[in-house]
Amino acid sequence: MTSKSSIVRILLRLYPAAWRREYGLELEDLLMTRALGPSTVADVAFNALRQRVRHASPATLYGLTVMSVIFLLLTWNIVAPPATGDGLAAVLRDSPMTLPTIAIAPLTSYYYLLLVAAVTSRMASRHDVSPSQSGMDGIRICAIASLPIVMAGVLMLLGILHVEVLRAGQSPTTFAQHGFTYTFYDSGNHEFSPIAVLIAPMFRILESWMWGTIGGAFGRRGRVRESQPAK
Amino acid sequence: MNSSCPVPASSVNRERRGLVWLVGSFVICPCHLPITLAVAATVFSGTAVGAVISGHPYIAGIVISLAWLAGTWRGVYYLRSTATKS
Repeated sequence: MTSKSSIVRILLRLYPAAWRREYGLELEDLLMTRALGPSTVADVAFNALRQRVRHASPATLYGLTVMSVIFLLLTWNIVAPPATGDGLAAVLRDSPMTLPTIAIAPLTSYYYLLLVAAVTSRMASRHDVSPSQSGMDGIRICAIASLPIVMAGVLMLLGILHVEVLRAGQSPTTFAQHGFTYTFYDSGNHEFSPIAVLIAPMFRILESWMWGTIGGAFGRRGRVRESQPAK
Repeated sequence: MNSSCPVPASSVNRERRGLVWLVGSFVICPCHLPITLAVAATVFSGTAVGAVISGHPYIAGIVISLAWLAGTWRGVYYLRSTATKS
């Protein structure tokens, strides 16, 4: 296999499977007959991204939205740490439970659970999906939304992202003083650990599945009611 | 000789299995680990398992957490395979 054909295959893999099935061969022929310059590669890759967004399910798009919010809050914490442990930017909090020892504030809020239920309900009201598929959509939202937390955990483990643990009465330092550091408020329940940050999203998976299933059940009931003929 | 070929599980069966695994995992979720340990210690009181749970709560906690993780993974695996096949 030539290097050009492998580049073309990689570029085609960037497109969604449904799109590839319909237009994949056509694009492959077109790319094989043309010179593959950086601008062509960039153009094809950018269009692949556009097609990914167009073909993405609402669960993926909402997952990406929550992920962006969590990423912004983490950045906010690093740049301007909150004065108290209750602030919006205090994404990671000391959990009052045995496990997980770290709670991810945006994913434990009622707004997040309502969002999962609302999205899966809307999806089930429009398409014929089973309860388990709605639950899987809930898991997908959680998995995508948790990516910045996993990334932060890995950076903490590698020692790239430092952590400043503050206890009651201590005030945070500024970005100029602490640099690339996450400020964590310790409530005294558990010792802070980067591994706990890394595994914290796993504890949200089952709850996301449950709310996804519940939302899906409501959406399906609405669709069945609408499809019944009026008496 | 009784030779039988394995019957592939239908989509509905896989979905049911997935649901059972996930609901089962909910029961032993480490979020309520102290309750799980207390219930397990009560249920198995007077047996060797009960003695192990009471004597080594940390090991019992780790075992329950690993079982929860494996159960969740198994449930998601079944439900994913259902979604892929449908």
